[in-house]
Amino acid sequence: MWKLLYQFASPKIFYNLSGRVIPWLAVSTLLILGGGMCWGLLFAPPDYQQGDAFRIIYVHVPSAFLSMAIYAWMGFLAVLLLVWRIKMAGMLLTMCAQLGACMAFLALATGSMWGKPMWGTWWVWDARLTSELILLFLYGAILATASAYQNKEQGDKMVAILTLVGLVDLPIIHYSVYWWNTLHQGSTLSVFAKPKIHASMLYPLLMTLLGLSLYCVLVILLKARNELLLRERRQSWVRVLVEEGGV
Amino acid sequence: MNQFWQWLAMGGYSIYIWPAYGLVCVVLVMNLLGIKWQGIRTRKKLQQWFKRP
Repeated sequence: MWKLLYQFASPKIFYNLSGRVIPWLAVSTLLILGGGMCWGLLFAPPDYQQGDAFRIIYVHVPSAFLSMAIYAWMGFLAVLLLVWRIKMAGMLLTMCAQLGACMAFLALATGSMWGKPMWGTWWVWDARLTSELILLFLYGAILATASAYQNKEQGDKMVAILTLVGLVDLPIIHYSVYWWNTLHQGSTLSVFAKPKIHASMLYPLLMTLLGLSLYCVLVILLKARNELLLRERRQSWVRVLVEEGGV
Repeated sequence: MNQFWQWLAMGGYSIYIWPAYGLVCVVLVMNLLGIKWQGIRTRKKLQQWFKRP
């Protein structure tokens, strides 16, 4: 496992391997995400209370889940960088933060569009909404820190420390609906408990969740490949790649 | 045809549902376009770097 991790952490192996995976990932993402969205919009039955407005769930829940999952993954990358000094992990941190910020923004925006018809307001200073907003600000702070450093490797270390500090927001977001009396409903999906929604609504949700997760992996790999070439430009394999027109 | 318009109306919630899906699609596509532009910039930077004496 560790041997595999170290092999994948080698920039050249990462670049070649990701190049092979990307086409498959792109096709799977398009099919699964597109299929899930179409299923949710066309074939899932309307909710007995919320009517068709509930269909926003198919974009809101996956983006909210991913905004947190990406941050948790960044926590793992931060440990890899600070403890095992894997440079690739530091580079991936910023890529993940860019995407995580997009997901947090989408979660807040789509949640707001769902909140207006259901709660009668675009925004409330509810614990779940506020803690998710803090997550968006955390992503912003991480990106600002990364861009403030001329020395990328030094910047990566600061970003890793900031990421670890911000990890405290994740349990707050998750448990906010249980700890405080909130307007936001409890979790729709849980790993251990039985799903609270009917299978006809659940399957498209799982599809969009998987599709958006694949999209995130795809985007991170694509961004990382570009950044990797710039950072490793002094290596002979990058020169060969550029001269052969393989970039 | 009537059924299509009915579906498009989304039970009266279309002004919330379609913008939500639209926004998600725009952000996802913009991300990919951003990567495409980043790729072009990277290629140019690397070519300039290797041309240096």
